Amino acid sequence: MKEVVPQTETGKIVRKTALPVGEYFETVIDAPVAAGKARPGQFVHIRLRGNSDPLLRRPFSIAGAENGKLTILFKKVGRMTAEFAEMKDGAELDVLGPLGHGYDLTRKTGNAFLVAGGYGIAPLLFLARAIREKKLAPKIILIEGARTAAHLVWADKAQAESAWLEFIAATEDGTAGKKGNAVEALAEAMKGKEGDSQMFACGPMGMLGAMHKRWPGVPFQCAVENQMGCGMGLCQGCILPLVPKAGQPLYTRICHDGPVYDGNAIDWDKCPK
Amino acid sequence: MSATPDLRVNLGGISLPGPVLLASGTAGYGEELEQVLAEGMIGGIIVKSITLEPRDGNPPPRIVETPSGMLNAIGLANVGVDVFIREKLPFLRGLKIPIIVNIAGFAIDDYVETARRVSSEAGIAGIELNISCPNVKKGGMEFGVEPGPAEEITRRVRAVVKQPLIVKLSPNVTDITVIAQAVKNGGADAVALINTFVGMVIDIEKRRPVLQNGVGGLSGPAIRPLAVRCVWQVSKKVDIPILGLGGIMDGNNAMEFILAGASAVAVGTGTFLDPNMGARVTAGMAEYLRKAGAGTIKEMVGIAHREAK
Repeated sequence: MKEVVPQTETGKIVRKTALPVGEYFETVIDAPVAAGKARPGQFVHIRLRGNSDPLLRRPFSIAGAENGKLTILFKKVGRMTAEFAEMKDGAELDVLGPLGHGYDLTRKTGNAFLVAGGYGIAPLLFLARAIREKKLAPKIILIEGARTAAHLVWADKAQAESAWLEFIAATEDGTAGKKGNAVEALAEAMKGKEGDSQMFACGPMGMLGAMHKRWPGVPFQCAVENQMGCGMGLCQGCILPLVPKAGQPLYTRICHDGPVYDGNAIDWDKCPK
Repeated sequence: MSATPDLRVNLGGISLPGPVLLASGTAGYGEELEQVLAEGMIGGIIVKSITLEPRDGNPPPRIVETPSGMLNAIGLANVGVDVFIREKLPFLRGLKIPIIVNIAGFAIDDYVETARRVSSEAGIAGIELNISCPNVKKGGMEFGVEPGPAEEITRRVRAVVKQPLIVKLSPNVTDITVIAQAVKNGGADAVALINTFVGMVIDIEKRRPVLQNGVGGLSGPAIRPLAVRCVWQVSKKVDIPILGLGGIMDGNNAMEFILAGASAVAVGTGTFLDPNMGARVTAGMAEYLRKAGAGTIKEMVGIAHREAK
């Protein structure tokens, strides 16, 4: 049966901070219903009050939840997020959630590799804390890949946890950390440890597909980013192709069955680029 | 202060406990909205289109937002009639609200066979015939844009179903009253006005349509005035009960449809924004009736025609 029942609430912006990169915003929202049940990998579906245009809600990965407050990280990419970026602390929003299924936190391995593509880091610090709490892996390694040093969102936050979290940065232009992408950095870090590791990721489809192809035998859970309609499984708008299996539909609804998937279940070649 | 209005309505022989239905394709088979439906504010659910065989639907992208609306091209993804009856219907019956089953197909015989199988099941309040889906290559809408085929398919399905039959019409026609008259002649008990408008959005970076299907169906507040106009026209010309839908987001929106001649309304895209949209619209309609001193929905149906004279 369903583990979450969609519920709307009026959330209030507690604190919205523009990150140094400029187009990224860390936002704390007072939303006790969503925050009370949120688990790493789940999302909230947000609508700015009073608007019928833009019409649809927008999904945001939950980056933290405590004391009735949610943290999300968003990037100014379109009209809704442009408006969101202009909103003042104390402003109200319409929050639906938490929605979707989070990361499964039952498997134990020697190493847990968490791989973020850009602001895909949003759920991964939240996840890293949960992995630590549940003692799923003695070694937790977070790898973040970005275009440049300036785009390494929350690298400072990750580095602040260095007592228990190993952080590896990778930038395409080599301005910080290793030169190259997150998958190459993972290959180097995980070399020889594949048999005692599990991978978690959040980021662009290309990165997730590449991880699956390179390490098909390593347990892999990934959160996919996608545009969504309703967020509740009603509209069937956000779908991903699954590896064909008898008796199973060809497509999965990301909002309802995901957004976290077993990386081996998705037919990456058929995903829209 | 007048008494609490009676919100019960009758739609072509289907008794509904409230005036607001959940539109086909926006409420699945009820499973995701169990909590909302259990609260008893909803007049009924029109389940996602069922076809004879299961369908995976169109490849992504399937939806795109538009000004005050959205385009969808889901492609009639559904579990097929047999799985629907075996696995989905028992749950729906348990909700204790009127169940209307929407049926789609690609040939008249498909529709007839699907309708026959559904109709023989217990606990079905009505059948809605979808002759207006814009998102499949053949079938679907082609039965809904010419009066001859529209009348024929209605007559053939009417012959095999026991329950009241609603026919959901496409607005993508020159004169919707002609199609409404045709399905009435074919034996329809009511018409649902309207399905989506065919539309397109182009991705100017990729220089191709955003939707993998090319075109999609436009829904949401953007189409509301067009839908109200269709209800008005049919109500004026054809003597058949009307289910009005298209961009309803609150009780006042819904009352426009009632005043234009609809006996009941449905919310569709609105539920995507708020799972409680149906209940909120119902509450808003009740409030309107109270303020108007009206005791029933029925006494408000079509009265804008009188006022317009």
